[in-house]
Amino acid sequence: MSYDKIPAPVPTPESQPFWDAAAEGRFLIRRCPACGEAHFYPRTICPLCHKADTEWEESPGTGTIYTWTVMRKSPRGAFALAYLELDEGPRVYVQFRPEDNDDLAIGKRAQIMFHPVQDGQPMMFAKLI
Amino acid sequence: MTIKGVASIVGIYEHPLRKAPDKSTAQLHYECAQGALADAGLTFDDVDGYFCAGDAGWFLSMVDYMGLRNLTYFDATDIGGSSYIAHLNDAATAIAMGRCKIALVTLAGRPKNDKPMPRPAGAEAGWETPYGGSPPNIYAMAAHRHMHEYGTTSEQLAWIKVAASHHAQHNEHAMLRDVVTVDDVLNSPMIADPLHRMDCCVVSEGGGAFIITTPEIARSLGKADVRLQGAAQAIKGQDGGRIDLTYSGAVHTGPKAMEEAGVKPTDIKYASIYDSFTITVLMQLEDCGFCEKGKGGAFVADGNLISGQGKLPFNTDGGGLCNNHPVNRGGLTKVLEAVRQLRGEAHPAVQVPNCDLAFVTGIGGTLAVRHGAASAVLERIA
Repeated sequence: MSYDKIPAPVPTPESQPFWDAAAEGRFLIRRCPACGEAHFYPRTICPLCHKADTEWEESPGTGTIYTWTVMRKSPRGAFALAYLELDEGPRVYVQFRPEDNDDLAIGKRAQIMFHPVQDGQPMMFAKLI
Repeated sequence: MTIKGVASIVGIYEHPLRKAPDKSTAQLHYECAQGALADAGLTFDDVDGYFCAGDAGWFLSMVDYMGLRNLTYFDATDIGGSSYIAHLNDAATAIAMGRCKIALVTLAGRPKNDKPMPRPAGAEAGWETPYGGSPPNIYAMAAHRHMHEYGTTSEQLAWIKVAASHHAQHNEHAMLRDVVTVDDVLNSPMIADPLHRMDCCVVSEGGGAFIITTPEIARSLGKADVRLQGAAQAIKGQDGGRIDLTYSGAVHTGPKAMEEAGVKPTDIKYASIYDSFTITVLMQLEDCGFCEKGKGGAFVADGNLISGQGKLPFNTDGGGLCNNHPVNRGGLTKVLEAVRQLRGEAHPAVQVPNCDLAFVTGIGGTLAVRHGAASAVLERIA
């Protein structure tokens, strides 16, 4: 898998702060002041309780692998997809960095990271820790 | 108010082609519609309800292309490959409300020759689209979690493909007619752990169509009365990150459709279970109550889905795994084989004796990210 075959994410007015923080290597999630729950991907109004505007929160991005798979054949080379269950709760759909392809297992600890993709823009990935 | 008994399927058609380089997508839709209307003994001018999904392209264009002049009701809800099972529910609802009397549902396309229809981007696009996830690896994630929680094995999943191949050998139009073994499946190349190539459906061109109408019109046409007795649909998404990959949206639709029909899983004589991948079948069987949650592996093993051998004959046309998965959407052909079984028109080698009660279920979209689900109970009324 080569990063330069991955298209850059297209920010929206709602997601721009996430990608601005990503450019600084910081991982943001959003939490609802009404129900107290964190969610992912980030939405301005809480998708869980629907009661309030949520707030940005910086996360270490650590968690455990909920499930994973390695796509063996693809035009961009073998690559791994997974759900990483963050320590804050949400299960996040994420691609693992290629160095970890052969070592993935449910329950292993991992962390969100960022890596440049096309146009040099940062995209969210995960790595084993 | 209930959907039970308000509508009947009177016409079906499955395009015989599996590769269609010389036809247009619109032409395939038209041919499928023509075939289903001919089967029903109806004409295009009789059609006053029309249902299709994203494979048809721009809805207005398809209606105009086919010259459907008398429409009073239409719907282009797209929940991926299960759309057409939802359309069955939607068409029956419209018929019950008197919004239309004769509804046409079509599916067709040429995935090997056309570029994929662009899908409108969702709000998640920034976080998901760049990864290039596709059905094999996304469904594989659900399979892995199911194995982890319930001990489901690749051998058990392989039995689903084995059963489909036993049926496909009798279907002259099936893409894959060779009977395969569990070892064949396990020895096929790994595509996306833990799914092998033979855990995946075929990619085919062509399509199909069916016609739904009132029971009164069905009887006047002299066709076997294949009545819709229960139906349900649902959406399952990531739920802000609380997604649980051990079940599908069918958990909300299968039991509900059976409850509406007043039947139990053990009453069902034939089941069409959408089989984009082997795991899709296993999970829906559990979710619809054919076996206990987590016991799907044991349920499908040892030929239990093979007609004439097992307790629950499934996908007797060979399904999407071996016969046909037009435009990467397998829901419509599931309805067609259920109707054939209820009419007694399935291939004699796979026809279920006295088949008067059938179940159809499908999920469309992606099992492990977000998908729609739809289920229906069909009964042959004497």
